[in-house]
Amino acid sequence: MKKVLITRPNHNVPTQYFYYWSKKIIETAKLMEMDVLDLKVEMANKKAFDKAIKSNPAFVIMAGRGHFKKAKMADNEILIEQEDCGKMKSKTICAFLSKSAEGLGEKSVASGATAYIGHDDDFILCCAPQKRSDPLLDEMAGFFLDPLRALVEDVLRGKTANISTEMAKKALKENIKKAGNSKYDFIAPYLLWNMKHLKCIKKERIKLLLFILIFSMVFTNAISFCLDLATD
Amino acid sequence: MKKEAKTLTVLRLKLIPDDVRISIGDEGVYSPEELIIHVNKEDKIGKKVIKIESEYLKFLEQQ
Repeated sequence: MKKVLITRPNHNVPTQYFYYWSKKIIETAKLMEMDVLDLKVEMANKKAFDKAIKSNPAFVIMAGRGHFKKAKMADNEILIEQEDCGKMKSKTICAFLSKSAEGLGEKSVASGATAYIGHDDDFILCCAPQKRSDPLLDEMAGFFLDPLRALVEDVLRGKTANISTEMAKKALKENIKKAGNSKYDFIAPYLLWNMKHLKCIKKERIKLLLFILIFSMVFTNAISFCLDLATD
Repeated sequence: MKKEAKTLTVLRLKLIPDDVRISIGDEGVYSPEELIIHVNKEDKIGKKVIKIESEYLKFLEQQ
């Protein structure tokens, strides 16, 4: 039975929204007879995360506070940081943490993670928390969160991380148009921002970066060798 | 920073209903009025919002 590990803190506006929005992700995973390790509210902490990750989940879905090199939960508790990325080996990670794709994402994939989907800059959410007691009824937030929820569900259903990310970007682009023609036209710039900064890091990219690095080193050496010959 | 972009951003932020909240990554959750203050100050948050609005205008031009 495949396992899904999901962290759902509920300590501020964005995590509160994700907490509710991810309920459908959990339902989908259970319908697919996956074992869901649901670390919600206070359980979204390092001790519980470390214990859950040892049971080798195939998918890790993280919401919380983001950082270039770290994933943080409530009270700034660090859930995982670049130095611990070995724990992510063979896992597909969907991270709703601002700015984590470049640092945490690339290091996770370099350490053996199958793929890391996340944002390489701030994730932005426009919502009306005072107007709606239930975040799921907040239509405006749906423009931002529905494509991400669908992305995770696609990954769980077996679509590749790249295809799922591209489909989410397409859905966000459609939402930009929809929002632009609605009373929510002011959210379109923020949807565009999220679309542009949604990234899927996979091994291929790391290999490409290594190839460019090695190629540039060889090229630099060759140039200096030629220059040496010319001066001799 | 272009004055025109800043002015346009403030004008667009003024169109956002008061009860809307904008969560920007790990920075915080802001009302439209608070964002206008940041834009006028041209601080980190303000510059980001101007960038977001400017990129959207470019995107519209390309459509």
